[in-house]
Amino acid sequence: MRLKLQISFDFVLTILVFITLVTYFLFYLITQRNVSITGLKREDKFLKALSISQMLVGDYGEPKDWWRYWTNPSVIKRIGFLNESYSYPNYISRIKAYAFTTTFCNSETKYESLKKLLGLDKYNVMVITKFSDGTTYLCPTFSITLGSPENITRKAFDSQNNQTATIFIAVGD
Amino acid sequence: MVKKGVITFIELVVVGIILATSFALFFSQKTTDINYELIETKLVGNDFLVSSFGYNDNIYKSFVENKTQSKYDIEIRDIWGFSSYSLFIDGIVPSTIQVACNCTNETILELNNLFSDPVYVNGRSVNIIFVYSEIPHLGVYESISPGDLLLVWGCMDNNVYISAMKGYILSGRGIINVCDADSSVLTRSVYKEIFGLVDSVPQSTNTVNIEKPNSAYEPVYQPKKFFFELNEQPTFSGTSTWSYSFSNFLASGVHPKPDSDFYNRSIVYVPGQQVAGATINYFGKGGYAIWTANFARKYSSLQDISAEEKKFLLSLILAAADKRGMPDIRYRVKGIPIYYFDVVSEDVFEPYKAVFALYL
Repeated sequence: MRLKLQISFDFVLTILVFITLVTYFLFYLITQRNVSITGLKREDKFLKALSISQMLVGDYGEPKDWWRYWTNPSVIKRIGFLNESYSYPNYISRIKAYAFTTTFCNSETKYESLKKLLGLDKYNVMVITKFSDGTTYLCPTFSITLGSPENITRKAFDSQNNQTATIFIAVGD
Repeated sequence: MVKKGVITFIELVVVGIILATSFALFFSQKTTDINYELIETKLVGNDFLVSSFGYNDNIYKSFVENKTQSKYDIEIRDIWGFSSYSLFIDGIVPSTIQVACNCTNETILELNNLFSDPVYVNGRSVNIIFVYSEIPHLGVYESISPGDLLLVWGCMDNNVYISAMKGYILSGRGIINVCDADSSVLTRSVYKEIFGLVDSVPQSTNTVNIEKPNSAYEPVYQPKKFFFELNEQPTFSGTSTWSYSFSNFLASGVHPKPDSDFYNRSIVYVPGQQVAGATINYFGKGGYAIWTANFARKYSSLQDISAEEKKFLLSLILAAADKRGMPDIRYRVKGIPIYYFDVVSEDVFEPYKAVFALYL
C-alpha cells in the first residue's frame, strides 16, 4: 500500500530531468544573447572606426578650411584631412592633421567636443597620424582607456611634402 | 503494470533530447563572421592605388613602362610600408614591343631602321624591336618564338600549324600578316580560320579609306584609335580628320572581304565596295589576327614608305601587341587582390587595370 504524499523514484527523476532541460534552455539563450551582443558591439566599433577613417582620408571637412578656425572650434561642423587645394581622395593636408591635434586633442574638454563631432557618445577614439618623414600627431595627447578596441589603418599621400601618411584609428569602450 | 498517461523515465529523456536538439536547430543564432583583416587589407591596398596611381605619376609610369615593380620597390616597401606585395598592369601598351617577325633578314633590318627611334604613346616611350621567328608547321616548328606579336611579311602556305597559331592568339598576343591575297591564297585554310577571309571580289580602284570608328565596342576600333589619336611624329593631316585615303594600297587582282560584319572587321576598305585592304579578327582574351595588303610593294625599301603608311603599320603593331601585365616572378605573392581601373588619354584612349596583391 502506498502512503499519501510519498514521492516515487520516477517522480524524482522526472523533476530532475525537467530542471536539467530548463537550465539548459536558459543557459543556451543567455549564451547566444551574449555572443550576439559582443559581436554587434565589435561590429559597431569597427564601423565607427571605418567611417571616421573614411572621413579623414576622403573628406575636406566643413568648412573646407576648418583648420583656420582652431581658436574657434564651434564653427567646425565636420572634420576631414583632405587637402582643399585638390579634388582627389587620399590626398591629405599635413596642416589639417596638425590642426586636428591642437584643436581637439590636447585637453579633456576639447576631446569631448571631438567625440560629439564624430558622433561617439559611448565610445572613446584614438587617432595617430604618422608621416613617412617621422612626424607623428597623436589624438588625444593625454592617456585614455580604450576597452576592447577595434582598429583600422589607412594610407594617404601628402603631396606638398611628397610624403606618405599612415592613419591609425582605434575605437573602444 | 503500465499506468495510462504516465511517461516513463526513458521516454522523458528521449523527448528531452529531441526537444533540445530541435531547439538548437531552429532557434540557433545565425551569425556571419566578418573578416575584419580582409576589409582592412583591401582598404589599405586601395588607399595605396588611388594615392600613387592617381597622383604620384612616377610609380604609375614605372609599372607601365617596365612591367615590373623593381624600380620603385624600395619606395613601396619602405615608404608605403608594404613588405609583401605584387603589382601589375593589364591593358597598357608595353614599353618594349618585341615583334617575332617571319621576314627576310633584309626586311627585319629595314623594319628595325624604320622604328629605330622610340614612338610615344600617352607620353610614354615605346621601343619596337623586330627579331626573326619561324611560322609554326606541324612536325617542323610547332611553336612561335615568344614575343609580343607575330608579324608575317608575305603570304602563308597551306601547311601552317593552325592550332599553334590559335593558341598564340588566345594567349593574348596578336598576329599580323602582310600579304597580297589573291584567289589562290584565299583557298588556304589559315586565311579562313585565322583571319576570317572567305570571299574575294575584283577591285577597280587602288584607293582605300580608313575612317575614324564610331564605337569602341568593335575590334576594328583598336588599330584605328592608334592611327587617328596617336600624336606620333611626324604628324600628317590624317590625324586630325575623320577619314584618310591611301593610294596604291591594293595590288591588282582580287581582294578579300571578311566572312562577316564587313564594316566592323575592315580596317581599311575601298569606298563604295565590299573590298577590304586590311581586316581584323578577334579571338577573345585580347588576341587579334590582322591581315593587310602589302601597302609597301611599290617601294624598293621599307624605309621609303610614307609617314602615313608607317603610322598605319605602327597602329597595327600597337593594336596586336600583348598588353597583359605579369607580376615580376621575384615578387609574385598570393595575397589579397585589389583591383584599380582607370584610363590614360593624353593622346590615345587606354583603359587599364592595376592588380595589387598584398599581405598585411
